[in-house]
This record gives sequence, C-alpha cells and structure tokens, in this order.
Amino acid sequence: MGVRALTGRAFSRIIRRLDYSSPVAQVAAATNKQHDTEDSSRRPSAKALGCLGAGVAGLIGLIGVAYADEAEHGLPAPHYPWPHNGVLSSYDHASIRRGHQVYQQVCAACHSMSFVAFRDLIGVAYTEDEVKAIAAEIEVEDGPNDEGEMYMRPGKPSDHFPSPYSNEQAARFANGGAYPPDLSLITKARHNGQNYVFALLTGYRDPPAGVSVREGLHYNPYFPGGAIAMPKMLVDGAVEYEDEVPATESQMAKDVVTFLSWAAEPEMEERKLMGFKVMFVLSLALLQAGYYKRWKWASIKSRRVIVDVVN
Amino acid sequence: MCVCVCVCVCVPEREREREREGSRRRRQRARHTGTPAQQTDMDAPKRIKPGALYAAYRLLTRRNSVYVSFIIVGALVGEKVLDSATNKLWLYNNQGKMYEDISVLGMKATGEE
Repeated sequence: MGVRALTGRAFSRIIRRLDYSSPVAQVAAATNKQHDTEDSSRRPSAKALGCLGAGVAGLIGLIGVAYADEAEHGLPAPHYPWPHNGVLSSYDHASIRRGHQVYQQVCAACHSMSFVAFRDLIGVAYTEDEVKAIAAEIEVEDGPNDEGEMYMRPGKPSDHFPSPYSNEQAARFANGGAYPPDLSLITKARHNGQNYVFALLTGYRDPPAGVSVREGLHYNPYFPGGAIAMPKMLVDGAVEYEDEVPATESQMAKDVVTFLSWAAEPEMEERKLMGFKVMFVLSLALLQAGYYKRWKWASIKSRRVIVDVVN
Repeated sequence: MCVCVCVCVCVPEREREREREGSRRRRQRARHTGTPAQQTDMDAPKRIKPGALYAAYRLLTRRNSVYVSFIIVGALVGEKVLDSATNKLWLYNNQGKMYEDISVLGMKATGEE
C-alpha cells in the first residue's frame, strides 16, 4: 500500500510538470488530483507499473553480464603499484635495463619486437657504446652488394630487434599452431596491459579440480579461456642481473613489464611533463576567462528588468 | 613558444576612452583646485581601492604597444619559469629512477667486448 501511494504521488508530480495544454496530461492531472485528495483506494496507473517492470527487468539482466565476464575475458588482473603510475612519475630506468636483459635472454627465443630499434635504448637504458656492442652481437642480412649478392653483416644501432622466426607460419609451426605475439605494443594492445602481463607471467598454477587442459596447453586463469600455449618461463634465478639485484620470478616479471611498457609508450615521460604544464596554464586561463566573463556580464546581471504586461 | 596566448591583444577602445577621460579630468581638477586628485573620485570606473595590481593595470594598458610587449615577454619568461619549476619537481619526485642513476651504466660495453 505504501509503495503504491509513493509511485502514485510521484507519478502525479511528473505529470504536472508536463505541458498542461496537452489533453493527455490534463486528463491524467485531473484523475491524479482526485487520487491525491482521497487517501483510500489508490490504483497505480498502467504506465507506472510498466515503468517499474521495465526497470526491474533491466536490473535482473545486468546480473548475468558479470558472470559471463571471467570465462570470456580471463580473471581480471589486480592493480599493481607500478613506480611509473603517478601523474609526475617516470619509468624506473634501471628496471628497463634489467627488463631488456630478461627479454633478450628469456623471451626473444619466441617473441619478436620488430618495432623497437637498438638505438631507442640509447639514453634510456644503455649508453651509445653499449648499444653498439649489443647490436653487433646479432647478424643482419643486408642488401645486394656490387656483385648482386645478399650478405650478412653485424648489427648496427639503427637495426630493429631481430625476429626469432622469419614469418608467422614458421612461428606457428614451431609453437604447436599458436603464434607468439609481437611484444612491441603488447601493454597497449591488451586491456589493462601492464597488470595483465605481470599477472599472466606469474599466474601459472595447477588447474582447479575438474578442469583439464589438453596436451600442449597450460592453465593460466588470467588468459581468456584459461588455456595458454606458452609454458611458464620465469623461474627464480633464470637470469643473472648485472647490478646484483636478486632475480626472483616477480622481480623479473616486474622488470620485463616495465621494459615492455617503455617499448609501447616511450613518450610517456615527455607526455606527463607536457600534460602537467598544459593543465597548469589552462587552469590559469580558466580563472582569467571566468573573471573576464563575470566582469563583462556584471552590467547585465545587475540590471533591473521591469515587465509591464497586461494579461 | 608553445604557450597559447589567448587574450585580446588590443586594449579595447572603451578602456582607452576611460583612461583618457580619467587622466583628463584629473589634470583639470588639479589645475582648478591645485590639489592632487584622488583616485577614489567619481571618475574612477571601479570602486576598488588603489593597490599594486591596479597600478600595474594602469601602467600596462595605457599604450597597446606596451600591452602587447608585456604579453610576449611575459609568455617567454613565464614559459622558462614554468619549465624549470616543473623539471625541478619532476627530478625531485623521480629520484633514483632516472637514466643517470643506473649504477651499471657502461658495463656492457667494457664487459662484453
């Protein structure tokens, strides 16, 4: 009874705000006025019931969405406190250096990073001489010489990171039909990329009871579908760091994700700096614009308007 | 100069008129009565007390050339100040994370070779 009274009164208020000249509104207002004065039997109109029913049905529908999410999108990754998370926070460049080492020694066997060049690391993780030394370790096929033959030469800083496979088909064939994606932009190419990659790398575990994963795949709850072709690659001590930081699984995962974040967004530090300066200047401009507007409008806002109409 | 200069770069005509009126009346009054004119007289368009801000406003908007020069020089100087202040804040906030702080810089070139 109380709920019906509430909907009836609220509905009548809504009706009154409508255009009074419309006949429907007038009739509804007339009938509702009668209901307001009488406190006894009050029937909610069909419209009110319909609106209520639609709302309840919508709410019920929303519940189903949440359950479908995990099977389709994988377990949502937690939000880790990355050192570069703040408004004015830069990358941890020592971490980028270690992450590159992890990529080179662990991931580069299967994953390419063909959009990153060696020279991009100069001034970020290595000096120019170091980058030249690193690049010279690889061999690159170069264009025809004077005799028209292709030849191999040691790498230069302008070369891009070498790909482990020559094309996608070779990659699929070597990995049981699954293609190890290029990692140049992976943290931007996946939803919540940085947290997702870290959770994925450290998230390998035994499947829960009743869940079986076929031969060749591995269980990882963060991967959409739960079965990923990549085996667990990061184990404690897989890599030896130059700066004697202990190479635990989570340390390596953190470093490699920092490196991948830098590879996907090398402009982040400049972007944050510029954003801070721009927002600061714009906020000053906002104050100036607000003052100017109020100043110009002062004469209009403080005038006296006399409306002398005869009805 | 990446600062966006988005103010009116010409002293509006109405402002100029007010300035001229105000200064003309002050000169007349000074001539007649011999007393220095008060700025809180009826010819002042605003009823604010004269302060440093108001004096600066008067100083800068008398001539359009002064106004424009102030804007340009102000933008250049302001940009330098803002840049250096932001960079100091950035360096303070990111101690230990910068490229220069890498402890093993240079090891790869000498160690590997």
